[in-house]
Amino acid sequence: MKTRMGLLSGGQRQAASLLMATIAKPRLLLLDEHTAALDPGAADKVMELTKRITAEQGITTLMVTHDMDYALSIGTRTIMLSAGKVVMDISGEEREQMTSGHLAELFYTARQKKLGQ
Amino acid sequence: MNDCELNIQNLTKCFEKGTANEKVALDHLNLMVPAGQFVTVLGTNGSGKSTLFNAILGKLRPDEGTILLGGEDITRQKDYKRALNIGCLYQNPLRGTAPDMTIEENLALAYTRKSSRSFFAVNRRDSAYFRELLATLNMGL
Ligand SMILES: Nc1ncnc2c1ncn2[C@@H]1O[C@H](COP(=O)(O)OP(=O)(O)OP(=O)(O)O)[C@@H](O)[C@H]1O
Ligand SMILES: [Mg+2]
Repeated sequence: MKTRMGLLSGGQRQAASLLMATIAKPRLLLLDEHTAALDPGAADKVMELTKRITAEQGITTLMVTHDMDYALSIGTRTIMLSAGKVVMDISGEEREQMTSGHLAELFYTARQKKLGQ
Repeated sequence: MNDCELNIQNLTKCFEKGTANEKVALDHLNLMVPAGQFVTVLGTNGSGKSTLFNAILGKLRPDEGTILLGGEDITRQKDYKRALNIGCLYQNPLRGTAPDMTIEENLALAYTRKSSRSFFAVNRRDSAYFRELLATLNMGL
């Protein structure tokens, strides 16, 4: 707590930044690939912290990620954007049945469509 | 749906309209999110994810559409006003923090942005809560 921010590791900084972003209890939290620059171990820890803080405070959250596993294991709903539209929106049973492999397929189909334009 | 915390209707943003580089980044996008819901967002590079966030944050002005947060229309609200209600975090860990200040000071600053408490008065309970939260993560904080 007494360490200067500039001296922290990437994971430590993101953890601290997450606390800063949520300490004033915002109505909405927007996370844009907030673990993308971290090594897998640090990313897991920051994700764990993300889950705990948002659950404890009940903050409405949108989290952008390129990681299919995180996309399905965190939160209760997953959406996919393509060319500025929501092209997939799953929650509940449908989301529980979804695998990261199938999700990746849908992802690449969306990309193919875009490239084919 | 009135019980939606975030209600986005018909949101459209086109960059460099009328030029050869014209790019529709948001195309009549609709999204309704109930209070407390955690939504994960996927999409290929350039699919509009960050543009959506920038529109919600007021960093860019949409061409069409409305954004309601907690029932209030914030589509044209100034970005610094929205910042009180919206927390955000990016890939770059240093953005939005003061590198020469300690974690505790940075937290105090974030705290007082919203409340009227004086700068260094992160109260004891919060400080203990952070300490505990950070300690359980074993990140050396
Ligand atoms: N300021 C800008 N000026 C011109 N074009 C822009 C601008 N910002 C975004 N774009 C374009 O809008 C489209 C959507 O970009 P955006 O950054 O929202 O994508 P993204 O889904 O966040 O992608 P990534 O996964 O790479 O972060 C892209 O084609 C991008 O080139
Ligand atoms: Mg982006």
